[in-house]
Amino acid sequence: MSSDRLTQLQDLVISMAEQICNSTGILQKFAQPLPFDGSKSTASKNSNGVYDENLPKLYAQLLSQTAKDIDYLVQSLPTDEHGIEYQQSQQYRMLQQLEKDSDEATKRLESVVHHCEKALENVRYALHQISEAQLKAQAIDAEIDD
Amino acid sequence: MAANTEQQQQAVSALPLPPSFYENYTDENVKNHRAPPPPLPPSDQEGYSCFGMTFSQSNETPIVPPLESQNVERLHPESYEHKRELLKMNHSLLCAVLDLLHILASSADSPQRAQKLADIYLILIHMQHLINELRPVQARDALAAMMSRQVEATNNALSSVAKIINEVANIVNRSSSPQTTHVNGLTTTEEENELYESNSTDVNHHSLAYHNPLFENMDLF
Repeated sequence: MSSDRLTQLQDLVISMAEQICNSTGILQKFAQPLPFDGSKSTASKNSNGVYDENLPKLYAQLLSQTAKDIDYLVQSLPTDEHGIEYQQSQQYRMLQQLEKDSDEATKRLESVVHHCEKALENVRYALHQISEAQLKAQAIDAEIDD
Repeated sequence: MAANTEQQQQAVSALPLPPSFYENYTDENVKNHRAPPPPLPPSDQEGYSCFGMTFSQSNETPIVPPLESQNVERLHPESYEHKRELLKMNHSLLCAVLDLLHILASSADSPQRAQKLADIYLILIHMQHLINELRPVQARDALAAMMSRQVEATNNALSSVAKIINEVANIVNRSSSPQTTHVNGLTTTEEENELYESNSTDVNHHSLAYHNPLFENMDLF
């Protein structure tokens, strides 16, 4: 399920932080142990896995790609050059207008439905009258035939 | 005491329980009119609690608390544009990472390293904070979008009812005789019929339905 833009953006910032952490963590993992002062012996070499020559490139690519994605998402955000308070008052005004529109439309729909129901009643009544008239006409026809 | 522990519980839970008063509104209580009247909205002074945080009704407490209130140094000016600041911070973040790598490569045990780490931490906090500040904006926008969709749906319903009522009026008119007809008060004359027919494609205000006595008072569209 795709989430909204702000959540995507926050997720990207989190993965950016993770990538920063991991990319420096790699340094620690594969760093050459330093000799202690005065002694030539070094601690046993870190043997946690094999260092992959492509890792720096991979992390550089990952970080720049994430940064680019963040840039892209930020660019797609609406501008708020008049400040967030102005934007808020604009939004409140828009919501009030929409509420008014919605109320009006609902009222109109309600009365239209009400009048449609009345019209339906009228049509039903007319149909009823027509069928009664037809029955009467048939009866008259039958009388004439007799 | 019980209320206290309840509040504490709610404060620690990411998914707090609903307020306990809802238990008074069982089907049985509602049926027997024993359910209390709904609680009043909180007054301006009272404020309300949401996810363990207390908010006041006035606009003085923003939904997203400012960074200063969380003892975080503020990097951006008093008035700022979120978009611009976020872009700047994103770029600063990359630069800070490069700086950190440089420091690690050249002098890993210099105090600059801790400083750079703190910088990166601060920038990340700021980015999350700026995005969070946009959440209420997004929420209001989502609400507006939802409402305009509803208004659109209602208007669509209105115009389709108008269309149908016109079609019905057409059918009724076509089936009535060209001469003046009297069917229990439903009167149409030849003249009116012509008027209806000339307007038969118009589904707007001056539509058939508007003139047809069958559909009187239909000038609502």
